Amino acid sequence: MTASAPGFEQLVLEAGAERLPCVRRGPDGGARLLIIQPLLEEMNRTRRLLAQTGAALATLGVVSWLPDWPGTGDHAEPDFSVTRARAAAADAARAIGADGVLAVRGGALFVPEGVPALLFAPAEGAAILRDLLRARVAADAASGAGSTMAQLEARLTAGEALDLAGYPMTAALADALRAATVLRSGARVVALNADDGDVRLDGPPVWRQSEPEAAGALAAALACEVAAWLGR
Amino acid sequence: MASKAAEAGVSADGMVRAVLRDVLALPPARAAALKPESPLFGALPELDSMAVAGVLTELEDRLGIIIDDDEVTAGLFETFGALTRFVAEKRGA
Repeated sequence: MTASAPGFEQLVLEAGAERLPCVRRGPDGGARLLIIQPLLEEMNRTRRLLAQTGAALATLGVVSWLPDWPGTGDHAEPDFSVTRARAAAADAARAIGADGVLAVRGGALFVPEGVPALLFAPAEGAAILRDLLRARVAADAASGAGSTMAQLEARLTAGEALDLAGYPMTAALADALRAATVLRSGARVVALNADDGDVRLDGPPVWRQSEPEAAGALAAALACEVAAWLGR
Repeated sequence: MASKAAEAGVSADGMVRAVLRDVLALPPARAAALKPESPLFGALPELDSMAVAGVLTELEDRLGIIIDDDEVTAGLFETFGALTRFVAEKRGA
């Protein structure tokens, strides 16, 4: 166990065929929570918010596991796959005996069946893909390359792998994202700055910010929601 | 952030200013200082390409509109005035 905070541990989570770099926070004997991170670049931008949320949860009697998904984060080769992430999430939930999962943004696409889920600001796969393509159009405009959404879609279809915010996007991954939908039925939905959930929280959309602002109040509020939902 | 209904009476100028402030985490004084001729993309370090996508999506969510793929062009984020005009036209449409 490292010394940075009580109940903080970096480990490798054995989840089926995957070995996932993982941060575990919280007291032994607490309610067991798997945190399913957002996808691709949104994951990096949300890292601090989720670290703060995990720390706040630890004080509320919840032990949380925050793994990086295969092909993202600390994994050497960026090679993200919807199928692999979904299987890894299910295996991870089984491996830790999760009482519930907290899925954030695109993480809501990978909620395992049979595990109670709280979705925070869930995002559909098609919306995430559209954001990434729009970001590429903006980047191309800045570099003078010039592209349109239609041209990018055509290049994907033609078999080219496009760099989208630092991750290789293939036609197969794009199709998988378009087909991936959030299952809201049975889940508790916490919305951010919107009224389309069971609960509304207000705060900065850190996953959209190039320099995510400190969002300690949002992390604390989210932790309270999760802990209450887990009966803590 | 206010709800959609509460923002119905807000001007396009105020709407765009609020979205830029919230998505980019701009200090209120900098958001307030934006003028129609103020350059955006390439001039605001906070406005990287991911943030451009974020601003568009936030505008869609708050206005209840869909911005078509062929409307996403380089010129849209050239100046504060260009983005404001676009939003005003979308709301009028």
